[in-house]
This record gives sequence, structure tokens and C-alpha cells, in this order.
Amino acid sequence: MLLTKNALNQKISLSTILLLSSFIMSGCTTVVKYDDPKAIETVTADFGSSDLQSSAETLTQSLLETRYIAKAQQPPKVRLRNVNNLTYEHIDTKAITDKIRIKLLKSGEVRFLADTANLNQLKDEREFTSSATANKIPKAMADSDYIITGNVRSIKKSNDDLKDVYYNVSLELVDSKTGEILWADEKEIRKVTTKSSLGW
Amino acid sequence: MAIKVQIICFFLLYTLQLYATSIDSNTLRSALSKSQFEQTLSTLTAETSNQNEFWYWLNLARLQQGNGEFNNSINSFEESFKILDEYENRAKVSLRKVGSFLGSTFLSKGAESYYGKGYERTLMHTLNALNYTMIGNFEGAAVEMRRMEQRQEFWLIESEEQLKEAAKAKDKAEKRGGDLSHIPSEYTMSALLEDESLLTLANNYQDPFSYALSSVISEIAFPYENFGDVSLKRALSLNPDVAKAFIKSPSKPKEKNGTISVTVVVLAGEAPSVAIEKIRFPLFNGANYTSIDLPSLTLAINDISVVTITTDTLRLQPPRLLQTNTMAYKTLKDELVGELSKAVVRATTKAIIAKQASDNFGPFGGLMASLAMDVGSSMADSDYRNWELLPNSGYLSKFEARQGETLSIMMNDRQESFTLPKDKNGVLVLVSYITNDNIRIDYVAY
Repeated sequence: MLLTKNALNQKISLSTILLLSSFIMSGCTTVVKYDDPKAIETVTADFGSSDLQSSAETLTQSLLETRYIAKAQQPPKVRLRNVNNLTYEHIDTKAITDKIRIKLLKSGEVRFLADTANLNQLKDEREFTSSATANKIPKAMADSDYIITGNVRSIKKSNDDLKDVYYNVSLELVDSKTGEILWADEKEIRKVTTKSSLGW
Repeated sequence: MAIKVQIICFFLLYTLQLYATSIDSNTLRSALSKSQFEQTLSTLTAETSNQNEFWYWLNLARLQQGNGEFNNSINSFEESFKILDEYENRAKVSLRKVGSFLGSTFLSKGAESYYGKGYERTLMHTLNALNYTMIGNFEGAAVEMRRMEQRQEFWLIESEEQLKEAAKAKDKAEKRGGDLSHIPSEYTMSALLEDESLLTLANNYQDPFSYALSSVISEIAFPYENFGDVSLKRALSLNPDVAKAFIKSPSKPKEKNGTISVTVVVLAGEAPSVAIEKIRFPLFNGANYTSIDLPSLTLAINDISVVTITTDTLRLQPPRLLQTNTMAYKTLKDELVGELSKAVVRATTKAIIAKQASDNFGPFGGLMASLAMDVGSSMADSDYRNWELLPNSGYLSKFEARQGETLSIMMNDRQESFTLPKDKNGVLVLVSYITNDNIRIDYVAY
């Protein structure tokens, strides 16, 4: 009886050790899982993936509805310039312009010309293939009907209890021949972070 | 008894071993010459015991910048920002903050963790902006400058609140019959903090160098906008000498061909480092003692007094716009009343404990208690660090020169030269004067 009790105790301690070990081991393991890329992300109050997606979505939709694109007889040639980052964060604004470009191209309602960086690459490519016209960018590559430019701005306010960040992403459609601003729209985002009352 | 002594010895050795693993402030500041620099940088990079400390990443970032490792320096600054962010976003009643407050109020100044003073939190963005500039990311540099400006405004409000708190502490002490208006004469900083030039500073955080640099970077990042105008006005209002940093070209617009806009930034020396100074005084029958411990600042090192830039047509002496030592002394002066009130509480606590030990175990017991508290707080105080490699001086000069021309930059008795690029419109030259024999020149053309 005593032996059985001892054996039982040993089994219990062994299973307890195993359980604890597996618990500790699982705690040490990094868990990776796939998630919905469009799910709202609120890890920090910084400009994040949800803000990028919602800005690109709203502004592209608004741009496509403008008469200069929706009622154009043939898809206009557009060049997307840089979106200036005027915030307090290191935002990759290229990600915003890339997303807008993809959405506009998918709509089939505009044609895109390469941006300045790509244009230089194209020039290099032409230099590589044809030395005769090396230093000139062909007119067709440079002539655009419209230019799209934009800014991301932010205003930050904080006190002891909360932080308030306001983002404004704006885009403009400019006639590249006259310089006239034909369309402009903005997406506003506001995030408020409150401090917890008690914590470590 | 023998076992007890062995255990005490073991713990003492273990503690000393822990302290020996990190580079202390003096070692770090004395190993910056050209022959030692690489070794110092690699030792600090490899050090793991202080990677949760704010000052560690700031010191590393400065060394990396001085070695031309701008991307690494950006990463190190980012680590320091994370630590500061975590600190600033802690709960209103944070157990760590409460523990640190109690520790620093009753035990030792060294129980406080260091999260930088207002001017340091400003300058970390200024220096990081230079990192972004040197890798050609002007938009990123402008972001850092916006952060810097926000910090300057934020800390202006914060410093005013601190002054009010200090006045309250003084009033409270006076009502209790104490006097916090006199700095103890044994305190080595007392004469320096009474200096007239410190009293004339409007506040301790507004830094004209950072604002002036911000205007230059804004102009490079956004040449078609006037974003830098406000920064320049702020810089000028803080120090009229800023006007001397911007030299207007005598050449006419037609003659602009072949000219290049040149900005020279010289960061020199290392700012004062913080140490905790103990003023010990005897108690009762003289066998026991207690101490007042106050933060004090060492002198700046490896600094220069004058910079002269010469081209074929110009001879410039840019003003010293960044004066870190002055900001450090002014900050200490503003905070001293608060520090003094805390130091008095700590000294009283230690005195009470020593008195009780003396009453219960005789004068020897009192002396042992005094010694134990002194050694304990000294060990905690030795771990109190700051941004010891923060540049002490910053000079800025913006002018026009001919493309391909050679600049001569004279710093004290050291002359360096730099040939301007031939096919660019502008260049920003960063001179890192770490020591007299360890000077590095980097540039970015645009």
C-alpha cells in the first residue's frame, strides 16, 4: 500500500513536472499566425496598416468619381508624385502611393506613367539598349495629362492622461499643362490613447 | 561566524563583478582618442548588461555617428526612443515610478532611473536628424526635426511646472523652519550655479542650434516650401548670433552657375557627465555620520573654443550655437531646490537609523549603520549615468562657395580640409570632433 502511494506520488510529481515544463516551453515559443490584412490594427497610436488602407481606399474612390477621370473619353495619362510626409513619424509614404497606384490601375480608368525614380531607371535601360537616344527621355514617357501629389500631416497633443493624434492625408489632381488644381480630397484620422490608472 | 564572513565576501565580490562588466563613465570618456575609439565602440556595442538603460543607447548612438555608422546610430536612437516612450506612457500610478520615487526620497539619489533631461531629449532628435541627413533621407531628417521642436515646446511647459514645484518645496521647508535657498558651501557646484550667465538664460531647454539646423534641413527637404522660416525665427529670438551663421551670397543670380550651397555643422567635445556628490557630516557624539547627496556635473571635455572656415573668398567664424554645458548647469540650478529637499529627507532618514543603531548597539553599532548606508547608497549612486558622450558644442555655418573649391576648417589648432563636389547644388558637411586627434568629416550632396 505504501509502495503504491509512493508510486502514485511519483506519477503525480512527474505529470506535474511535465505539465509545468510544457507550460513553460509553450510560454517560450513564439506563436505565428496568419491574420486578416484588413483587420483594424490598434497596437499603437502611430500611423499603421489600417490607416494606410483606409486612406488609399477613400481617396482612390473619390478620385475615380471625379469627372476628369470618370467622364474622360479615353483613360488619361497620370503621373503619381511623392506624397510628402509632414508628420512626426517615419511613415513610408511610398506605400501609400503604391497602394493608390494599384487601385487606380486595377480600375482601368487611368494610365500611369513611371514616376521620377522609375523614369531614371527607364532612362538607364534605354542607355543600355540604345546609345543613340541615350540622353533624351521620349516625349511619350514624359507627357502626362495629370499629376497626383499629396501630403500626410499630423497634429499631436498630449497631457498627463491622454494622447491625441490627428492625421490628415490629402491628395490633389493637377493639370500638368496649366498647373490648375482640378480635384482635391482628404482622409482624416484621429486616434486617442488614454493612460491606464494603475500598472507596473 | 566564519561562514557568515564568507557569504558576505562572496556577495561583495559578486556585486563588484557585476559593476566591473560595464564601462563606467570615466573609462568611456577617457577612451575616445583615435587609437582607442574602435575598441571603445566595439566594447560598448558588445555590452549587454545595460541595454535597458536610456543612457546606454544614447552613448552608443553618438559613438556610431562619430564613426560614420549612420544607420546603426539611427537604430540605437530608436532603441532609446522606445525606452523613453515606455517610460512616458506608464500608468498614472505606476509601481515602478512609485518604487523609484520612494527609493530616491528615502534611500539614495541613485535609486532613480535616468530618462534624460529636457535638453537631452531634444538633442537626441537633432543628432538623429543629422543621421538621416547623412544617408540622404531628408524627409526623415525633417521628421526628427519636427519631433525636436515638439520636445522643445513640451519641455518649456514642463520646466515651468518644475520651477513651480521647486518653489512649493521651498515654501514648505521654510514653514517647517528649514532653508533650501542656500546651496551647501561644501557642494563643488555651488559657485558655478550662482554664475550670472546662468541666471540670464530664459529657460534651460530652448536650443537655438537645433532650431537653426531645422530651418536648414527643411529647406533641403522641401525646397519649394517655406517650412524652415518659423524655425529660423525661433532660433534668432533665442540667440541673435544665429544671424552670423547664415552668410548671404554677394553674387548676383546670374552668377549662380557653378556655385554650391554649403552648410557646415561641427559637433565638438563631450558634455558634462553627472555624478552624485556626497557631503558627509558627523552626528551626535561624532561616532555616527550622515550625508547629503546631490547630483553634480563634471566639466565638459575635448571641446573647442573657435572654428574658422576659409574658402578662396570667405573667412568665417561660425557662432557656438549649441552650448550643452550651459543648458546642463541651468537645468541643475532649476532642479536644485527640489533635489536639496529630497537630499535633506534622505539625510534625516539615515540619521534616524544611525541614531537608533547607536542607542541599541552603542557608538560602534551607530558607526557600522552609518557605514553600511553610505556604502549601499554609494554603490547605487555609481550606477547613475547620463548621456556622457553628448556633444558639448555645436557650430553651424551656411554660405555659398564655388563647386570643386577646397574648404579649410580650423578647430583650435587642428586644420582639416574638404573639397566641395563639382556637380551638385548643395552639400552638408558634418564634422565630428570627438577628441583633438579623432576628427571625422562626412558629407551629403544634394
